[in-house]
Amino acid sequence: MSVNDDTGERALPELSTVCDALAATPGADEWQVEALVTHERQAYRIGEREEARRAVKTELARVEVHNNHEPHDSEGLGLARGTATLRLLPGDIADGERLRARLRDAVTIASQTDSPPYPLPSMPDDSFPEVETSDPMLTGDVSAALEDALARLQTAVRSWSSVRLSSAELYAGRRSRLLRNSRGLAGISRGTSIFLDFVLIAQEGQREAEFHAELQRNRLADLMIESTVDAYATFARHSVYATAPGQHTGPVILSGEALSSFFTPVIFNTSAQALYQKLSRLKQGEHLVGEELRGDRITLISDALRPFGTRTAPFDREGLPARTIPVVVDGVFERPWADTRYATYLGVPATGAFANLTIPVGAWPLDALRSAVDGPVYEIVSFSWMSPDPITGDFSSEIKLGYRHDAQGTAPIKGGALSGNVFSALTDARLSTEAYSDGTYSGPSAIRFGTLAIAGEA
Amino acid sequence: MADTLAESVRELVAELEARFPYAAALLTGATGTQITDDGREQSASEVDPSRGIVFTVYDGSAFAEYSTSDLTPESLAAGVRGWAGELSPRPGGPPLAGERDALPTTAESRVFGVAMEVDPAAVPLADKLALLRDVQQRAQALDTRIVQARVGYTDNTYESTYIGRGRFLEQHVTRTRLFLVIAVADGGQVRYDYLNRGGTVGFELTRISDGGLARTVETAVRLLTAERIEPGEYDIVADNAISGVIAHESFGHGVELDLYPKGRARSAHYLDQQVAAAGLNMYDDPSIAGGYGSYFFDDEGELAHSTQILRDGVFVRPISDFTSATFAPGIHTPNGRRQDFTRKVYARMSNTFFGPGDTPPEAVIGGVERGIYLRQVESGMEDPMGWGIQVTAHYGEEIRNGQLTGRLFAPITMTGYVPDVLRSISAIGSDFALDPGFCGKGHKEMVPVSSGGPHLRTRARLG
Repeated sequence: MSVNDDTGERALPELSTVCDALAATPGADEWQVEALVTHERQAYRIGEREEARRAVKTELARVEVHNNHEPHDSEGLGLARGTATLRLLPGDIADGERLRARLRDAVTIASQTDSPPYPLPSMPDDSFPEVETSDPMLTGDVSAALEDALARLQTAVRSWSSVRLSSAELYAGRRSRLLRNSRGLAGISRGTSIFLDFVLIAQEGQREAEFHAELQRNRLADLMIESTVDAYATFARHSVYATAPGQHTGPVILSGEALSSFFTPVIFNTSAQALYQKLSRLKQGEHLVGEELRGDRITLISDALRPFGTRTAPFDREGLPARTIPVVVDGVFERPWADTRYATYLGVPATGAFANLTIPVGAWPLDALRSAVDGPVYEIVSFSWMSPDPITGDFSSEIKLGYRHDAQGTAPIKGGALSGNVFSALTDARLSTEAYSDGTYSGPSAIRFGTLAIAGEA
Repeated sequence: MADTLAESVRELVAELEARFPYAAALLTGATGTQITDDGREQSASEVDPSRGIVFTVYDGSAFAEYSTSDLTPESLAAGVRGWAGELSPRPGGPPLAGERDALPTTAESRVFGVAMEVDPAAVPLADKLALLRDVQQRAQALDTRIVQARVGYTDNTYESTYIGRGRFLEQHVTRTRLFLVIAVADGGQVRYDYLNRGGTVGFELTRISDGGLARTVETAVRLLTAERIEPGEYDIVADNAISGVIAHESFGHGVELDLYPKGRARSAHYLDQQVAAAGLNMYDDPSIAGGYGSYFFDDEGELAHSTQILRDGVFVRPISDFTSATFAPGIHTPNGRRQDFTRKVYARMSNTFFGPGDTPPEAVIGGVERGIYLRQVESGMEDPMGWGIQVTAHYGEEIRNGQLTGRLFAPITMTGYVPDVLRSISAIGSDFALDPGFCGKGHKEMVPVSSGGPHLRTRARLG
């Protein structure tokens, strides 16, 4: 793992050193080693003034050691497996004696814990799929790319007379990941990433309001800087004169970034881990939301192949090849997604970790979803922090910005809280025909739920 | 720090100091153990060592940093000199923040460490595993509806060495944490409650009574029949942890000085003004013995001490880091923290809390005719410019005529306008407790903190 290594290839000799040492370590019955090399440049602005710039280089090897042994407190149940994880820096690997001692310590730790055994993945029959993860704009002179992106950001903001740039942070880098395990699996994955955090402040007379954007992508072009600034500047201006919503129980639309974390409970509840640990409310082959479905039948897909998705890679953490997994199809829980551990425990095929979330769009134009013929409809475009409980699906979150659509027109709102339950909400959901993608989520740009509650002003 | 590495870092810092108005290095790392046990699966591992170094210079206009995990002295020197070779002094920017309590230059390091009854590093792994198995089995046995009793344990000794400004400081901050989650199922639904303990203490923290386990299981079972609260304005009583998150999200995040030059903190316009009920005091104090967010010096070599933020309801002082004190001249407090060596330093909280009052906690509840007692933190979110606040409680219990009725609502999110919430405080408990956790800046930059205070009675919107 060399500091000047751009591709990760030069990490191979040191990875081989670790693999050889593991193969010679008594009790290391199975193992996996990842070499991770990242190079990143970071730029910070206060307004348009430079605050700081940073160069970051990290190199480490992450080692998982598995030891098979008799269980410690129950007999006659077959072998137990213990697992220990350690991280090695270049200096740990260069010193042969220290490396061997660290690996022996890992075996000692693994030998003291008991879990049901499971096999590590083997090399797939076909090679790992080719996926698009590296942006040529970010593999060359990253500093120049950062400066150019920041200049575009500043220019885009300047075109708004009543909006200014409060601050910006832009990180760009490339990473290499090499993976090997004791079953002969070997792979290399390379990629680029870019993260943009910026705050816009809109001012109308003495009144000010901010809007904060955080965008993680793998390709510079996917930041869509100019259109993103336009969207957030509009939100910031609307926030200046947005008013508190009233109390409301009825139709609510979530759109854009407000949707991005909404499906977390569905993803968790469809995992083999949740099923094995009896934490899931779902049963395979049954409707996601019971038989009371009144809206669209939703489909959820884990897609590790999507070009430049933030979770796109040729293989997952343990080396399972990238694939597309329909987890929920037309509202029915089709199959759990599973790593090898929980696939083995549950007796289902291993699919790999959940990757990018894809939801096919629906049949409802956005204008139809916003129709307030039967009464007011609220549309939420941003929450302070939307974090549904992954187990129960309950959520309650402050509204950062939204709109009230009614017979009088559309007016911005902010404050108050939207609450409900993800699974209950999905019994009556209408999906837009328009699409939205944020790097991880790709699906309808808006979903209208039949009945959610807003705690607003009485 | 190994002598050869220390000597190399000193030389490099000295070279940088000769060229730039400010230069420093921070070496960080961690050692420790993390364990989980849910009765069927066990795991044990070393904690993430996050070992690396960051060199900082101020070139006269902006800060520049070089971060790397390669600590081989030769590679490090080559990397730092290569990076610094591309930098030049650029005078004309703001002058550096003043040295408030600069130490005398010394070649000798000052070393700090946490006082512990039982150093976790001296406890064999087998004993730690046995303790967790004991807690897990005692909890699992308490109710047949438990589908998972999961115990997590971490001891993490954060080690850092700061070299710069004439200082050579080294600290070893041991944080021990025990976390128990009880999940119960009844029919198709699953509910859970948790027990959370943590502090800059030793293995002694892991002693858990049967009563503590029983209360967690009992609450999880009671949550199976919890209702959704009718949205609206309520009189509320915040428990110690919820009280702490109100402090944290309101005049914690809201007074981080790095937001001031960005124009993002409304508090900048309220210095020395009444912003909360009289009698309310608030502090950030990284020097508290045992606090989960405690340290001896921050990531910019500033020695830990208490900062009073609110005095009798008046906003008296923000918290800051060296960088933001340079760009927004003000008092430099020991609150410069990084998530790890790969990330920038910001003004961050440590242990943030309201000071206790003189009302017994039972009287804080007893003074509510009809309201909700908010318990257990799920999350919080700041809004320093708009002064909104979001605090989500794991559950709340109904209060009628000063008595808890046993009727639970879950989850509950409290929202409101910060000055309204703080000015509505009508009782400040005489009790005090800190709750361990982690804090982000927006949605990133996680650092260990604690939040707390007394029970508080106020009024807010719930939903």
